[in-house]
Amino acid sequence: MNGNDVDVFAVRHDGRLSASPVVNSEPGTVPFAISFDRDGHVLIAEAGTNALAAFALSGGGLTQQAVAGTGQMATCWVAPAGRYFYASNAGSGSVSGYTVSGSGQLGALGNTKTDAGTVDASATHGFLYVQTGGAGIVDEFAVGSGGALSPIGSVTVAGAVGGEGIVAL
Amino acid sequence: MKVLSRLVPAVAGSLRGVAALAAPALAAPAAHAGGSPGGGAVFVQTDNTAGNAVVAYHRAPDGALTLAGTYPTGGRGGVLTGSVVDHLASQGSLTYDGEHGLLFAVNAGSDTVSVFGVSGDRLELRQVVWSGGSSRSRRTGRRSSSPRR
Repeated sequence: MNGNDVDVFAVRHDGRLSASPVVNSEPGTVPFAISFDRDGHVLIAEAGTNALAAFALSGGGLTQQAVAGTGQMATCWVAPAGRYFYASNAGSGSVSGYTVSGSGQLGALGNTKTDAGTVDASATHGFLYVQTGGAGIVDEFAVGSGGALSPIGSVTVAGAVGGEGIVAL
Repeated sequence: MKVLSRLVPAVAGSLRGVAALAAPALAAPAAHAGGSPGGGAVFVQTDNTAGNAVVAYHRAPDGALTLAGTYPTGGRGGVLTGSVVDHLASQGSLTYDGEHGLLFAVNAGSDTVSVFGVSGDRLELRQVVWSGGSSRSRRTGRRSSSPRR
């Protein structure tokens, strides 16, 4: 259980997980973070290949539908924003936007600069908030039609250098 | 189940390169019942090792954030060895349960999870529970912390 596996557990009605997972081996990809689209595709940010990958999920098994390199460094997180997805590139200080088609194909929307050390992100009501660990700053963006990001501003979170965890409501 | 799928890798702390997810968590991204187009809140975890906190911001209708308050979690943040900008190397270390209006914060340095009730941009600490984890920075030896109320 160290690296390059995606473990899929069943969830029982009482919230407990199945005793053992279905183990999906994804050699060399370093699967780091997960999101889901509205069609049930599993989107995984892959730090080993600096890419976003889309999978179909059936019976606990993952089948890759598409993979798109970000061209950035340390692609580790992925957050949904309506019908768009934004992968955070910790090593480049950027986010990479994508669309996901009904068949799980990825469309690249390009990269947007953030402050240094891009980590977790959360979106709500047309806005994307990106946490950056270099100086503990949250960058604010409006998500335009087509998924383009427009900077609004930023706030520095006291005592939060390297911190992770953000929820936008 | 969404909560579990995100908390599992976060609580485990040092599972760099391992992703865990819950199979039936296929629904669309969690409904964000707490906000509206007219405004809402953004909550940010500091993961500070001297005392973890959730910093609350008011979200204006135009998306701009203003500080609304800071809420100690009652636990400590953790720092994964070798990390610089990503001390937890985890996504979803702060997670919202829209069904119950609860916010869960991971205290990686004390192996606990703090549970907050959410009301607009205000939080109320409801509970601190042991996560079952075993972080390198956990030195107290306690197996559980007491519920706060």
